[in-house]
Amino acid sequence: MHSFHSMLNYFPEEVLEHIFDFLTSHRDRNAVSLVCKSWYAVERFSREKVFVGNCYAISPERLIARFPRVRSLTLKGKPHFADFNLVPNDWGGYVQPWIESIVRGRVNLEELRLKRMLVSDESLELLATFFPNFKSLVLVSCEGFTTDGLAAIASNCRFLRELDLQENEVEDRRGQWLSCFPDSCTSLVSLNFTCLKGEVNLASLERLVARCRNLRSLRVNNAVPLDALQRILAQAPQLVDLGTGSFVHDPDTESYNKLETSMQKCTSITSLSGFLDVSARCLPAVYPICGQLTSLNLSYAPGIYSDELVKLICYCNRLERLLVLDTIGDKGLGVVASSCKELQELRVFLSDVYGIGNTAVTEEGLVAISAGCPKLNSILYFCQQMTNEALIMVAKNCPNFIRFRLCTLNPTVPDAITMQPLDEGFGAIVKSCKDLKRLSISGLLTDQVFLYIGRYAKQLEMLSIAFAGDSDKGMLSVLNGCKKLKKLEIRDCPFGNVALLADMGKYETMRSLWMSSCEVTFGACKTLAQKMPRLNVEIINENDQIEASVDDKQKVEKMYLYRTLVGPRKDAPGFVWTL
Amino acid sequence: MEGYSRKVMGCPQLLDLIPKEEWQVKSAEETSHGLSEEKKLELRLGPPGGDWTIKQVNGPKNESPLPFGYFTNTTPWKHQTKGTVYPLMGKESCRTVELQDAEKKAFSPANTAVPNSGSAQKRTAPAPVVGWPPVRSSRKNLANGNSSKLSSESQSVVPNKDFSKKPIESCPKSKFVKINMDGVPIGRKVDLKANDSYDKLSSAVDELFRGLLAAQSDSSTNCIKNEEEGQKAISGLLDGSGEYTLVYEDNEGDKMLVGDVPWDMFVSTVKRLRVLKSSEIPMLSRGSKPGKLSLNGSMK
Repeated sequence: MHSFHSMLNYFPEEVLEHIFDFLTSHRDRNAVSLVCKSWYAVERFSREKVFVGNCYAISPERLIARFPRVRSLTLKGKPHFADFNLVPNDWGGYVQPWIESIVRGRVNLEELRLKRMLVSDESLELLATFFPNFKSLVLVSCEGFTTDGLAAIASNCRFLRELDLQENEVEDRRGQWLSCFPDSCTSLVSLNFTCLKGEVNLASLERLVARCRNLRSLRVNNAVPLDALQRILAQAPQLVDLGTGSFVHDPDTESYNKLETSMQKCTSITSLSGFLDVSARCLPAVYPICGQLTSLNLSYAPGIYSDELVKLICYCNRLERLLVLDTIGDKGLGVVASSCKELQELRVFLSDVYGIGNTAVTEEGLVAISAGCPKLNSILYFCQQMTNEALIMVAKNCPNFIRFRLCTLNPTVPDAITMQPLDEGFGAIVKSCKDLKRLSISGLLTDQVFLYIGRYAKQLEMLSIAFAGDSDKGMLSVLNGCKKLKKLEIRDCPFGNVALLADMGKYETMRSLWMSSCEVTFGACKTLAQKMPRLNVEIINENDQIEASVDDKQKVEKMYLYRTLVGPRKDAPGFVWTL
Repeated sequence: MEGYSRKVMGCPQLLDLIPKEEWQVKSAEETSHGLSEEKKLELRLGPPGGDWTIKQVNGPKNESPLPFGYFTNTTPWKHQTKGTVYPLMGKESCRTVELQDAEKKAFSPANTAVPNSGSAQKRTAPAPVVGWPPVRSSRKNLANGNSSKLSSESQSVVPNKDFSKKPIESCPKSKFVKINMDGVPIGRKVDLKANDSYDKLSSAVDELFRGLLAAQSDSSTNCIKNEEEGQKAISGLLDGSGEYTLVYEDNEGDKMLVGDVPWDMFVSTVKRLRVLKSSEIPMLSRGSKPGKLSLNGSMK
């Protein structure tokens, strides 16, 4: 009797390859390549998209050796807590060596997606020079480059389809980078430069939009005024995704009336964002398209208060994704709950990071949303206070959460009514939401919440903890129970060496672990590093000199460890010590 | 992170912002449950002079009248780690909390009852804390209307050990708004809390722009700067009498003449300022009705 395995071997490789083409997720492809050697071989030659979750887990040379036909590369650099100033800027995550290797390897790179990496103008220039077919550049939370680098991309990538800049820190060199797109460039499908601070030549922008008939997504920056936006919309009624620039104008003018008309003609827009500078009196221009929106981001719009937000949102009956500031208030969220029945993702950000937050939202808003929006599966919620009762209700109403991130202004605030820890509330969430992949908890929390997480959060991949727990038991519960855990980030928790060293092999099943201001000591980190050669255990020590004779009993300020196939990295700056 | 006490042998676990010697003096007093005079006057979580009782638990919804930076009412306490039940206010597990130097360091260290030295310490956050709340730099400063700018705080931050330097009041101590002047390509910023009246604002504008304006006219007319002539003062900004007039853009996007409303109201609604040539403003005459200006073009 032939085994299934040998039957499949009768398929020529081209057939296998064709079958694998249908596998788009990199996880599926990874799984397939583990089946047998011939599948591994077929898969690696046919893989075009490679995802590298930690740029230091592998070297570019090895990647290219395995996947010589790679066309699209995604790389992530700094740990997530770098977003909140916990990681020094020059920690690492340079893309330059990757681009150099790709150039040397004669790879036909068409797409590059980077997150939290350091990108230099030189890197961008290399990209522009050596990859004539380059089509798509997506940079998220990166820094180190200027508009000169963008100019190089614009000038040289003749078939550029996508230039998407999200939340990057870009130095503006006033070189009119956007004017560098040649007249022959008509291929743009997506252009997002919201995060740039400087001006662009408006006439160039309008001409660019006019000649790129396939443009679907356009997000401009604050330097693009409303009347320019009107002219752009008049040229591009086919847009699907729009990010406005400055949305401030006197509504009693002809410019504004024209905008209303042009907006009405944009019947394809389903995603709206921008409003970095906005006057509430201009918002009505957007009403005509509200009914078609599936995604709305008002989270950068200061000074739009609850009433005005609500007036807009109540028309958005098809909304699936909403990002707002907490100025919306609990009442406003109540209106969202009754208007947006299709809502899947909600993010409520802080409008005033330092202040009292009188307009902040509470548990009431969250409960209202959960009750009104049964399809809710992803939430990020900054709030003044929370209660167990509310969380339990939310868990009951919405068992479909994939992402649940709660952040209380005061990181250790107890249940607002009972003054108890919020263990039971979060326990209810993890118990009810069986598909939960990402969780951030906050508030007064003891080891109990981690017992619940370990017991119930079986699909959990990413967990963020701050100021929580009582003892090593907490961390141990998570490490033992969450079998699919990939990223664990912990700050200011009383977890120490016992938890860190209990199951060292666990870290090879994870992408990374971050621990800062906890109880782990140098000695324990050294032990871990010694016993696990396939982990890089890095200590970030900004203050003291790193000397060989550091006391083992001393607590470590910041530790970041990750699995890697290529040993300690060679580009670590002086304050990063790989043990 | 500085500010969190490591386990100090033999002492109750408190945050380490109090020098050790000072702390040890106090601890002797506190282990007895008698109340010293000093203790009665201390700021505490409980009612003055009293100790925690279970009655506190079912109190009204926490209203937390203090701004975020003050963690008094909401400071956690340490539970007994071994038990699964949480006796909220066992006498031996709660201590009063001291506020140290309230005007500088506004935080409440958590008192922890540590029955055995092996258990870890509960952490509370002194306020404010690096990286909390977890908000990206690009999202900070939205309230000030500087939403298009990425905050310079995103530079590498060494944890600020001197908490007295951080803003702890609920209102910021300064309100900087942009101010541009016709004919001058570079804008300035002016602090409306430091210059806290219309007159002071007017003088500030003169100070900020007099030199720049002079430099502009020098370069544009190519004449040799005659230092003896001095620079012409910018005056008459508020009454229409000068060559320039001060206008502002409010929180609704409207352009308004500066000076119509009481100063405090002005500060709460102003988003940016502009110094325009009086000749460009129609209907600008003394005694004209207060109201909106409709100027051509948007204010940059």
